[in-house]
Amino acid sequence: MIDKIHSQREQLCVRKQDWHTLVSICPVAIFRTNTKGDCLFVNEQACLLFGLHAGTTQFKNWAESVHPQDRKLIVAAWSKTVRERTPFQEEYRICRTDGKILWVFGQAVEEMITADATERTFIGTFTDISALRHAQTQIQIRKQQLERVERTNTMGEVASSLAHQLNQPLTVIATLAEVCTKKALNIHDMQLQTGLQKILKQAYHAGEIIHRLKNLFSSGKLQKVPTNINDVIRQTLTTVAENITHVNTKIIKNETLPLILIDPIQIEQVFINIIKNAAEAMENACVIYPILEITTKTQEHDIIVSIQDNGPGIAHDVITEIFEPFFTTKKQGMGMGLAICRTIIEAHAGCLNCRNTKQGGVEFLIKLPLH
Amino acid sequence: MMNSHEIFSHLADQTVYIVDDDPEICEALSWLFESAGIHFVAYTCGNRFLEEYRGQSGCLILDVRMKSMSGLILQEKLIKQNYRIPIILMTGHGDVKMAVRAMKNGAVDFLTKPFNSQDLLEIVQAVLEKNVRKHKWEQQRILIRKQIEKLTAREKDILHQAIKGKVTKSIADELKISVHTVELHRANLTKKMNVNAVAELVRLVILYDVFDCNEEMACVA
Repeated sequence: MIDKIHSQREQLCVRKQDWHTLVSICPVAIFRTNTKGDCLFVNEQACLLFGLHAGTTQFKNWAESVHPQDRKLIVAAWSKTVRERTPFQEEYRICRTDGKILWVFGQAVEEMITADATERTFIGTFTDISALRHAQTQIQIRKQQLERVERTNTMGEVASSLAHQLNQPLTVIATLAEVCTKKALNIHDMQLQTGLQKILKQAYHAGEIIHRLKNLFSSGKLQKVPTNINDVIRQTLTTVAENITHVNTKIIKNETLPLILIDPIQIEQVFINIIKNAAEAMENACVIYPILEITTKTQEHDIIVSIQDNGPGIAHDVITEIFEPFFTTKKQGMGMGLAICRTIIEAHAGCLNCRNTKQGGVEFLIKLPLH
Repeated sequence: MMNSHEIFSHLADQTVYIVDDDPEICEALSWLFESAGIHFVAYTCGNRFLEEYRGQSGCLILDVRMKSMSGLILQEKLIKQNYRIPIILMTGHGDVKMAVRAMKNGAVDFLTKPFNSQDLLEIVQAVLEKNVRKHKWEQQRILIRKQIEKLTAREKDILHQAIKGKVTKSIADELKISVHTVELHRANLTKKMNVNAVAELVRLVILYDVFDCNEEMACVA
């Protein structure tokens, strides 16, 4: 009997040792807590995460370290876990003892209640997700920036093409009114003269309004910086990653491309537009093995970027019109995308062309001057 | 003085070419030039204009943004073909960069639509008048050149010395001939060239840059 107890005690000892090794070596911050958030146990990893010495007893209540701005949310979530016995899973900020703020992913589940238990306990882990959060924020900022640029560009393009389309008839009105004024002068008809002068004046006035409107939206000046075009392409591919998951991208880079003075965000807009169009065209045409081939090279005094797909190509009768504002083949499209692309490339003193390839796809050629 | 057979030397011989892919604009401008009594031809297609234009004197009113061919490209094509017709550009955009590029390539003016047609008429008038003056100058130049070619070698020598500002005595020294001979040649020169004095001939030679010697003249001065 005594032997049996002895052996059981030994086994228990071994098990306790095992358990201890596990929680102290395991690279996860582990803690045990009660309903009030008091820390009944923390492993070394948890101490380190919170900026405390390993084995310290300072770590009293995990809820107190929650960032003041997240506290209300976390307290509510914890209450829910306690009340409804659901697992706790939250992303929030903590304030370490050294003042540093970390983003953590905290999880906790309730332990099985044993006979000798005096209160309900929970086992949980903390994961440092600061780096992930930072990257996510960066992506978010970038997306917002791109969206803003896209919006401004669209407004600018709409205003610009509207200006062009309205200025044509206004020129006709103004010129004819001027000619007719002279004719009215010859027949001495004062009222006709005055009327024509008023038409003329109003035509100029309308022209003035259009110019002001156009200037308002086309304030988007280029922010040119020395850039490697390969970097812009890499950046673009991360931005459009979710749009081209079904596409096999093949990139043939000239690694020795010189830096050129461009606005990288605007040029990225051009690439995004063309790549998204290509991916959509290939998807709509149910291309079995869609390939997007991007090539960069230098040619005389230019850098050439070629973006080629193996989609259905562009109908011959519309290929000259695809860069015109308001031209679209999509049900939901406004027809500004490629018009904006052309404006951006021309603003860089380059040119943008497109042709159907022999293999049946489309190739967009972007030419940007080296100097 | 000299009678010259003048080509293009009247405003009536000048043509205003209008190139805009909007037929309404072409028509309105046609009305404008018709009412001002200026000869014009309007094209709604840049390529058509390039096919038909053969270097006639006048000026070109050109739209920048056309569907088939941009006005700036048409301008560059004309330059490549060595046509130096003065160009007035029209744009609905008023793009500064475009204007700079066009002006660098020699455009005379840049108008933003809708423009004051009186302004356009004045610009066109000035360009055409300048053309006429230039043609008159060129005709005169050719005429003087022809007459100079008829001079004897010795007479030409004396003219060149006179252009350098030398008096009879130093010309005689330079050419190692007598003062009397120089005077004789000078008399012949004035007679043949139909001028009152050698000084007047020198003035004409410089005015019409007969010997393409603007540089040389500068050196002498």
